[in-house]
Amino acid sequence: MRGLLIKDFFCLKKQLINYGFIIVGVIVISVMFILSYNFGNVHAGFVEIMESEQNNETDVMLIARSAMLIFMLMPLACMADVVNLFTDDEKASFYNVAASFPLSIGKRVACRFITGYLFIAIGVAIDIIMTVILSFMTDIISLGMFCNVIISFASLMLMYISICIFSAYLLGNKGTTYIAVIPLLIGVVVYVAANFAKLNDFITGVNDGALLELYEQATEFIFHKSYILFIAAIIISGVSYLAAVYIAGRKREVA
Amino acid sequence: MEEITNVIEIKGVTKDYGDFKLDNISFAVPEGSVCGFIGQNGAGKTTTIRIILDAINRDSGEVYVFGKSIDKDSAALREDIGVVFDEMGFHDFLTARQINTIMKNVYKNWNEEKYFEYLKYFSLPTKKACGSFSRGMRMKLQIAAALSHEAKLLIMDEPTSGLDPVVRNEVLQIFREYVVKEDHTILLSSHITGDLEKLADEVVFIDGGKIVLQGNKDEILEKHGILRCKKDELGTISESLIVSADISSLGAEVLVNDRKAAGKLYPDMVIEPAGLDEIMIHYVNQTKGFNAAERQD
Repeated sequence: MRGLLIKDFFCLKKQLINYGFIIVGVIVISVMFILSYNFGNVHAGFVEIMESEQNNETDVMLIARSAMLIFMLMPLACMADVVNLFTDDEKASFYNVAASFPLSIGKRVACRFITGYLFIAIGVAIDIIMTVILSFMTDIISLGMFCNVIISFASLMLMYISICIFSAYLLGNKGTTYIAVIPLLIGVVVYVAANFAKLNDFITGVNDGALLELYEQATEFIFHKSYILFIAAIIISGVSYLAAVYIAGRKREVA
Repeated sequence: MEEITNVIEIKGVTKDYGDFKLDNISFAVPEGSVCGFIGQNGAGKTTTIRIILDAINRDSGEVYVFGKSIDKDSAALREDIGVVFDEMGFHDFLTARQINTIMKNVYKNWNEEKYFEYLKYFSLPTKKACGSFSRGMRMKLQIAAALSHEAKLLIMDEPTSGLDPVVRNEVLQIFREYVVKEDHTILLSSHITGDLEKLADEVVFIDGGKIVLQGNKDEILEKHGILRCKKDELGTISESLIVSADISSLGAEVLVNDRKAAGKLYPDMVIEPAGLDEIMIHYVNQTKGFNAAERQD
């Protein structure tokens, strides 16, 4: 099983170098943002906003936190890109070679999931480093909130990767173009279905503040209720793995 | 009498793809032999190999490898099987050294030393991405990998196609050396019958998803013959002897399935030994219905 994991890492090695640049860039930008928020132009801008548009400190904090969320999501989002593994394998017809290895289908599928999760782990490690650096520099987000953000985003990425891998087995080698989109579509559908009433209120003009309420609700989840997302991630990962093994057993022609 | 053990045994295997069907095929590969699996492109060789490896599901039938059903634990059985495909299967950016790192973590019996010896023997670079290798080099790399985990059975799908004669000869020599060991067996699929004539002990001939001929290669070559006669003499030849006939303005070329019997019955006609190539062509013509009677019409 280790052999397939090593193969996947060789496949993603080139990608890792590219991601390394992106992540370093994100860390640098986020540190610059914090410094600017405390002492520079961003600070001056926020002061001006508060004075001129009758916004309070909480609103400004919300904008600053949103920026922080984007910075923290970037490393994990980069690491969650497992689609290339499937396209690379398809290009090389590696599934023929993998099928000749002394590994059961369950193990071969498990390798894919483990690779995905290991990359999430790298993303989490980078986020932790960022958290340590940023939490010393700002009071926009407390250390506890940072930890919740990491767990929330890691959970979201676990769900994303699990559904991606399951979709790859479901659609087969020719469907690799679409597998990155499927989890996003499922996510949008689930979110819209769960918040249909509020979204409808906003669209029909019944409640103009519905979008802001939804945003606050989402940040409440990310900052304080990460455990719910984590439990959902574990369930979705388990179900995706079992479904992927079942499909791979029936179709076989997938690495 | 010593009992012959079959390393591969296929019984009544069927796989229907809709546009192609592997139709109730059965054959066995005895231990210590080289079995040539002959057929045209698209005859069903690769499908059969993938079924043996349990890489695709079959619709019906049974497959035994090393005497064990592949339905029970095919993964464990593959530990003793070395596989060479017609396409390399390794990613273009991988080097031979990286492939070693992968394989030693896949196979329990991976012999790193042997692998690098093969690479040296084949003059393959270890640090160069295999995407830049020629077809011959890619094939050699696969063969090196297949031979480096102490496999008792080598299954190869068209390993010599596209190789130049010098490389082909080198590769065949490696297979000869491999099979010298008593418990080593080779199933070699190919449409290049010349290679199989040099190497194979047994042949299984597949066409259109059906096994049309199988047995000991020498016996098959001994039995079959090419009978040359005039067009008007064709009607005098017993139909039970004719596999198929190729008729041209110069005369008829008939593949007979019993050379000795034909020699006795038609002493005035020229009967020459047939090569596997000719046997294959005539059996394909037979299955396509290009038999003597139809050609005469």
